Amino acid sequence: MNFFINENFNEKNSGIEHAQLKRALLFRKNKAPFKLVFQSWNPLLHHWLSENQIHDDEILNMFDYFQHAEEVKPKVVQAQDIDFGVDNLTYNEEPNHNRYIVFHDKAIVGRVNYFAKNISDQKQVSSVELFDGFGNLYRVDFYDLRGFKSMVQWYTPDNKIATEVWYSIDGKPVVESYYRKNALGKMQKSGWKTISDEGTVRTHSGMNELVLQFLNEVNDKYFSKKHPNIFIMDRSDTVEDILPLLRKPAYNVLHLHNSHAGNAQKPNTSIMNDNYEYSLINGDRYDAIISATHKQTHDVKYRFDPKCDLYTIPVGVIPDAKFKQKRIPMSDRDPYSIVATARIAPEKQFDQVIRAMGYAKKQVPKIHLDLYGYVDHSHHDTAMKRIKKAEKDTGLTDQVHIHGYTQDVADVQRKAQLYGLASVMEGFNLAMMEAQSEGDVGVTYDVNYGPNELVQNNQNGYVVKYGDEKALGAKMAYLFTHPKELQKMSDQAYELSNRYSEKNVWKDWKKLLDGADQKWAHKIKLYQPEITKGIEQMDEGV
Amino acid sequence: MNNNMYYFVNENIFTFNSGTEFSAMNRQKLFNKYDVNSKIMTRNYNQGLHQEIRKNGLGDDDIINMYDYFQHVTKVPYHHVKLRYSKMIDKRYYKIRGIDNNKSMILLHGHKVATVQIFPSTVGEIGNVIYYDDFGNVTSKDIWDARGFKSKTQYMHPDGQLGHELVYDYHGKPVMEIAHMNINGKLSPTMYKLLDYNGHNLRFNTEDDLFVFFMQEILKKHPGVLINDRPTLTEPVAKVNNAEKRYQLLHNVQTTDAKLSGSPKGKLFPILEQFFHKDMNKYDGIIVSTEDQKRDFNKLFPSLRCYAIPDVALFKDHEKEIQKGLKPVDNDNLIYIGRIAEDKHIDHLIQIASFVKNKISDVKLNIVGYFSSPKYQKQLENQVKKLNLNDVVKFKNYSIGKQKAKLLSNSKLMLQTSFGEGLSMNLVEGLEYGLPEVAYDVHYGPNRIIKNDVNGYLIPQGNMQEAANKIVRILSDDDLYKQFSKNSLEHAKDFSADNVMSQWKKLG
Repeated sequence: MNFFINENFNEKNSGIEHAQLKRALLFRKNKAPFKLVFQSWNPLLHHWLSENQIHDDEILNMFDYFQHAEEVKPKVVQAQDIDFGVDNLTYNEEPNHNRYIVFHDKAIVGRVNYFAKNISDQKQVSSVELFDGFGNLYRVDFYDLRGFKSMVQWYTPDNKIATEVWYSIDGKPVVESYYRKNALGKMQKSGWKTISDEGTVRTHSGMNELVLQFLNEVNDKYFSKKHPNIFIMDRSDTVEDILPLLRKPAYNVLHLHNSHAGNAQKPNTSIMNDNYEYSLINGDRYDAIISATHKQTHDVKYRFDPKCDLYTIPVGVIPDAKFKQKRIPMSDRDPYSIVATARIAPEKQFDQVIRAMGYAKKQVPKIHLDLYGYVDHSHHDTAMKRIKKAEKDTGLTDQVHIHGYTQDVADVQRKAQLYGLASVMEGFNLAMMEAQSEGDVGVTYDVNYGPNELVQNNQNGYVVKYGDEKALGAKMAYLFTHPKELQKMSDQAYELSNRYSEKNVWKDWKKLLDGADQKWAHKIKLYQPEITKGIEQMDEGV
Repeated sequence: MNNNMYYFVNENIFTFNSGTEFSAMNRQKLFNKYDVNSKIMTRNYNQGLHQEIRKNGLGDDDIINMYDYFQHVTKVPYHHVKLRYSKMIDKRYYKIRGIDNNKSMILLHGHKVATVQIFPSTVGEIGNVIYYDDFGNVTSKDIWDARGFKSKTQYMHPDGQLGHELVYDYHGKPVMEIAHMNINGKLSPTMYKLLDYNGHNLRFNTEDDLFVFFMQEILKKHPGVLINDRPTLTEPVAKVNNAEKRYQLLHNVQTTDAKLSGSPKGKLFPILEQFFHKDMNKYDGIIVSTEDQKRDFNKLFPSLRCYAIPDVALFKDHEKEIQKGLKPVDNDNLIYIGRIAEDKHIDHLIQIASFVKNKISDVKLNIVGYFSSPKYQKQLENQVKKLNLNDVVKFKNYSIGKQKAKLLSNSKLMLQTSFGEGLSMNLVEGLEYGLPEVAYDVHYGPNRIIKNDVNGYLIPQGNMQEAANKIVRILSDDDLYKQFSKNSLEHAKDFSADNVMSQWKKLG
């Protein structure tokens, strides 16, 4: 079985999740088994994944696993379905708070909170606050959107959480965690416990140990001598230190989704990206490292010389359907348009794209930029402040349009001519790959990793020296004033997208799967199965 | 008696029981012997209940416990789950380190994650499992049933006090939740919730509310009569709406000063106020052990129906015993059996033994039972030391069954110094061992068991010298001893199963 390890999945996600989704569809299409693995408890996990066409049997959430809730027939639970064990109840709805207050006579029995309209228009129960007959709030029950009580929090008399309990689908406690005061007197999670169906109780001091138990059980469950279980760490933070501790062998893979170096311009010498520092230092304990670009694979090999297998597999996949679409000639597009679909964050440096446009403005007065994406307001709104300043300095205020997030990225890309980037660093940049598949011509700094590989200089766009706004502006001006060249490069953008076709990316994955099988044959030769004989009770002795 | 079921309502059967429980168990055996349907019905949670009733010669069918009922474990097989072979511990990861026969530690990487308390009276079976967090706090505690399954889990509040409890069925599914929160600022059980009971949850505010519901559910299935052995349960029993009849059974004298028990001036034990001041009219009557007590109640509470039935019956074949002649007695062992508690005035026993010793130097006194408190134990031990009776007075552990029979067989005379009794079942049991008996003549019971100068002596309350004199007289006159002994055996017939059962049959 192939496991793609992540932490959580929500309505809004980042590039890593998108990469996983694309990979999932590719594996499904090629009938290779896989599971998306999540570790966070999330009552809406299946909801959000299902919105992204992921099936229940392709999801393996740790809490689902312990709760036997991997595949649950959904049920609608509404306020009236909650059994308080008390007769003669009245329900006072407070629609502004999405809840009912439930009374018996004049005494409060509970508060039933329901999911907001954007999740469910049936007022499905999200949580229930329970009161005892003496008016104490003693517990809060949280419901999964699929319609079962998933986790409960037991309260202390002074209204703090004492114990959290996760229930199996048939109502047994299966995971528990506790809150106690630490040495500073602050309440803190102080321990975990799991209880199996057979009654085996395991204690854990932290979530990581819980994850290790989970991964061990999963590895045992899918263990096969023919093929290894392949664990791909897409987010490595919570598993990088425990995967090598699995009891039975497996094939463990570190997947780099970003530059391994803190300064992507100095990949061979700069301080390591703290997200990957631990896993790269421990690279010898994994079986393989995947990079999304050849350039990064090369740099990783050059800098660390790891002895494990190195693979280059693009994180983007362009669906076959895309290649069948009619190509849109440059003349049918919005003239002098540049587009970017990305989070508007400081490290994306869109202000520099605007400054580059400033240089092109003289030759191309109608040059304009459309940005689509969530605005990252962190660091005191640095990103927007810089953009506004650049607009002002270049006099392009009316030619820069900042739109929100769009659901139809392809549509806006299809209407534009250039795709502009000036990021500090990238892991791959799915958006640019998609833009190229829509025929956009890329203009970018020489940025590791992705843009400088997606854009092949002089073929499907231009790669200029990092930070050289003037050069970037010159390439924009050149393209907008040379329609034939622009069209030629757009054709190349369509052509070179073949690098990321389903067929070609699957070829890259197949290399890894075959390589893992080969290595597995050696590993399994050395594997000693655990002792199962002679350890049960065989006589009356104690 | 009709085909009714008789329910003997009680709190519990303990590891160390008092007369109240012995009486109920004795009655259960009696009713079994005469094929009258009955069960002991208990309220309290007790992980060792089925072990205890077995020790006392009863079986699973003789008892119906509230928690058992809701857990669907009134009758489940007995499994001996040994810690070292239990699936509870995954020994691939955790180490079990034995501390002693009663306790083991569970270690993970050298860190103590749990303590297992071995079930009492077993070899290596799981009793309780106490789990710790990273900081060494107790987080939760699994309570195992003697029959070998995890029966409930207690979760602690962060301050270490009991938080909530989950009670399980045999397969580990929760059937009841108990919350412990504040009532007027004091931590108390505040909720008992039955889960999925016949398809519904049911919330109760107190354990007694739940107990009322439980009794009603049982009576719905098997209608019958409630006989309440415990004054603490007077109110819940009164609330039951579907009992054929209900009776309060009184095991003791009713007033704090037994001498005033027949007088309106006598002060009721507070625990009895619920019955006599509130719920009396809801009961079909009260059952006491002696005609004397019945007479007093008739006088004081004319509207209350009262029945006198001894709260113990004897099962031995007395005729044979008598024909076999008297057992040889080659010692001067005095015995007291019962609670070692202040109200039994054990200090008098010790003083009496001291007086006897002056005349009969090799006299021994065995005091058999459990101490009411460590403080009282210390007080008595000091007294023994002070009177230089270390070789005379022996405290023996609480004994039942064969162990108790052996002690009684090896005794020569039974002694009792309590200031108040309902009947004194220990004196009754002494009769069937042919023991002459010496006791204070108090309300109620001793004068029903001891016929003065026939099978022993009744002594004015507190007259220790007189008690000693009578004991010396019996022990130093072999013929008198034999006569008294024979008379005791003869008198035991009054308390024979046949006789006691015939009185039960008169119950309306």
